[in-house]
Amino acid sequence: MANLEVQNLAKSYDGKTKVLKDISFAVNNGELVSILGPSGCGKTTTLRIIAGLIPETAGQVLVNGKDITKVPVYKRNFGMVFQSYALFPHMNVFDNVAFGLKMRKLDKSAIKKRVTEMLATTGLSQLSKQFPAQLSGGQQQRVSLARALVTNPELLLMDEPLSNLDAKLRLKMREEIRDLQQKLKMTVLFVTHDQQECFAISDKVLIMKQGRIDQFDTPQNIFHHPRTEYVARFIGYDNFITVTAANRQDEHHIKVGETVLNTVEPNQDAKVLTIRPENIHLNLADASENSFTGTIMSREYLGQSFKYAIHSAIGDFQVEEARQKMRSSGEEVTLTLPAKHLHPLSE
Amino acid sequence: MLDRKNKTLTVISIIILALIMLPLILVVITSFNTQSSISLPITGFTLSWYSNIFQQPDFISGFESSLIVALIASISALVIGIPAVYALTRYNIHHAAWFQSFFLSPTLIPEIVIGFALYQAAVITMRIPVFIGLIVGHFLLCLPYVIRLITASMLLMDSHIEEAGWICGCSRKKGFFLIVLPNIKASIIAAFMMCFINSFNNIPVSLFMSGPSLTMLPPSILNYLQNNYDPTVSAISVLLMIFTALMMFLVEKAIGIKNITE
Amino acid sequence: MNRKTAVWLLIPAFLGVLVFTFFPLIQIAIPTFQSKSGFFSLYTQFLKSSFNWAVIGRSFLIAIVTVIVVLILGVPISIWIGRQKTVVRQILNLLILFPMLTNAVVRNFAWIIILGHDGIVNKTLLALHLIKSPLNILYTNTSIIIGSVYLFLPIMINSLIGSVAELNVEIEEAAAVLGSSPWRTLFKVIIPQLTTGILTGCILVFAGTMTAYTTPEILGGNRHLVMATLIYQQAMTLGNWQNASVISLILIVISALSMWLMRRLSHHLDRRPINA
Repeated sequence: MANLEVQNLAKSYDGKTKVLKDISFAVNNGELVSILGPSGCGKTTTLRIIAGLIPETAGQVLVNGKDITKVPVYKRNFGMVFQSYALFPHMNVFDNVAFGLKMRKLDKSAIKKRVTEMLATTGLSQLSKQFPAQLSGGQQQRVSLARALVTNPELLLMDEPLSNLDAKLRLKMREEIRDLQQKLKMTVLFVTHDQQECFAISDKVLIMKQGRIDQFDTPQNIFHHPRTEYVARFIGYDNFITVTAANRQDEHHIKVGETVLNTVEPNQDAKVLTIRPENIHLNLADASENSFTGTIMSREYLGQSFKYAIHSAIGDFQVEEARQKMRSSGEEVTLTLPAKHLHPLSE
Repeated sequence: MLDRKNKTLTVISIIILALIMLPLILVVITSFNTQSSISLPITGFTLSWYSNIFQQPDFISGFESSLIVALIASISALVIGIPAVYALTRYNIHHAAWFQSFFLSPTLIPEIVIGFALYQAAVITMRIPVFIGLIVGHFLLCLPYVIRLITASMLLMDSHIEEAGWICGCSRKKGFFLIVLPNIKASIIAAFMMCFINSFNNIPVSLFMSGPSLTMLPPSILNYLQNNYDPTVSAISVLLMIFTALMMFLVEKAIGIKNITE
Repeated sequence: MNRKTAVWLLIPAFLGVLVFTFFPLIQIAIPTFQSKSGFFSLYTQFLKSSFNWAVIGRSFLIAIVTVIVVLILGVPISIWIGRQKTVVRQILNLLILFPMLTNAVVRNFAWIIILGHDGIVNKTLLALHLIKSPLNILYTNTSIIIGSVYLFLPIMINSLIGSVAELNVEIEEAAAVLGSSPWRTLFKVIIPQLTTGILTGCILVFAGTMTAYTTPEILGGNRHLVMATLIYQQAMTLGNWQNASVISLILIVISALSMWLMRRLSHHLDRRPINA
């Protein structure tokens, strides 16, 4: 496997609107990197340019330092798993997996040996004579994976590979993909719109917004230190407090309304403060710092916890409380926003 | 509810269905009549009208030339039409919709006019042999079927399948033959059937493109019908119906009932 | 990706249609406008003849009546077939497809047997003493219409079955719950939803009947010419190619215009979103 580098990639279909603007990132050998974003953010376009399926408008794609931008798709030696799996309907499982090897003109016995190995690795040995239409979604997914891996590709590209599976199978398959990736030390670029899925399996996550990279970091860093409001919203931060330069008192204190909010992280350039709903405390015994009162407007039962919509003088808040005794609408509560969980965001 | 169990609707529909089938059944019955004019009820049973078919040189040579022309016209429409459809559906072509309508435009021109205009232009002005003119005319009848049916199945086929082939190391040209064609096989066969039958049955174009040594089967039957009134026409009609049924049966075997009717 | 390849793939089909459809049409069109007595003089001359008007009128009459009859017969049976279980529907589809694919000569010939002087209709009516001498049904406008209906009914049914099968039965159930009787539902709920399919079928049948050669030739005889048979007669029997060209162009204009009109109508009548 190899490392991938993307430099200043840009794409425009009509010459006017740019769907990709200046995309640069690198994937190291043996890493699994996810591209995360809502539909239409350009993540699939990025993947398809790297695959060579569509031409770029500007920029380069490098594999092991070599510019492959002008190499046609069929000479790139990549593997790709499509959202629809895109198995060849007129070939059985064996022939589907063997196709890439036949294109590389390997002799018959070598093909047979390699395909048999690959089918065993992916647990498909029993199904080699079946046709795609006879397989379940999970099985088709495995065939698609086997077909992509059999040629020892330099890079494995996956375009929303799990989104057509049901929830349970999705969890199982993502573990299998991660295990296989670790075992074979594959370099993988994985496109998804599912935040949980991508945090669970990725070494690094690249969050895209409207054709740009918003944040590129490890899942842990992104989770604890979202760079922008957009990223924060995407990964489950529900509460945003807008601040202006005039609100700033010093590096760690911001005055919002009558309340002074204390942050652990320095707050210069902060435009927004954010906190996850499960990090806000209600009616804490020692409610001195970062505390203010609010009224419960409505409630939602989540199983393990309750989620409350609370109205306060400095805005509306979503709060998740793990306490099993529920609070009722109209109740007055004190909210406490712990300083270490309150993140200042610059965008 | 107006569903298949509604009695009035069922009765009406079965009557209409009978009206559709009955005339053809009557043709079959009259073909066995011993009387030398076509009439019902029949007075006896004979196969002599069937043997009379083979006494008519126009029918024999007409069948041969109709068969050859239909084959060549259908195959050339497929060979020329499929790449055009591929280009229109898989490449980002400007004015693709315009091209599509252009290729379908022969259906807008009355067949009799196509026959007449082509006869003047190709046979009289360009001095193209009648046989070639005939094939060109029938090609124009066939092309729209190819364009319509193949476009529908190209649009239905997941374009990622072809892309997966490229990723596996298959060039675009190779992928067309190894991946695209096998996956639109059913519609190719269906298009071939529609082309072949419509070409084989055509009268307006064939009427103009005929020469002393070249007559097609349907005009020959028409001609016979206008000069004789005996059950030979019934007999050859029955053979043509068997021929049609045989075609449908073969296509059904090849691609299944679902693909013919939809 | 490679636009050059695409152009090469398109060229044969493009040239085929251009050279063998449009070039011949232009070639027959040009001389009809080159008369010494004026640009349209051949056309005005043609339209002065009451005989020609009779032919045009007959063509229209036959086409319009055929469309109406085909529609009345086609809608109920299409609904019935479209609502059968899949297997039954496919078999019925094949039964409809079979006459469609059978030679037009055969299908028209069948009606000679039925409508002729000694045909079944006359024999039955004579036997029932409803008439004293055989009726002349064959070689009239009526026989052409009957033959055309028989020829085009399967096409209408075929184009409607698909739209019927796509109908959402729950809409009718909703109408029934709201108190609509089955036949009221047919006219107020089902047929409005079939507008596009019906109009497509009507276009096919109208244009098909208007331009058909075989049926009027077999069932109309020499005294009931329509435009298509007139073209052949002028060109091949009388050798008057100029006249044949004039009629050809009028026929093209009429069929193109009627298709355009019907398509406008279908856009106008069909209020459902196009991509529904």
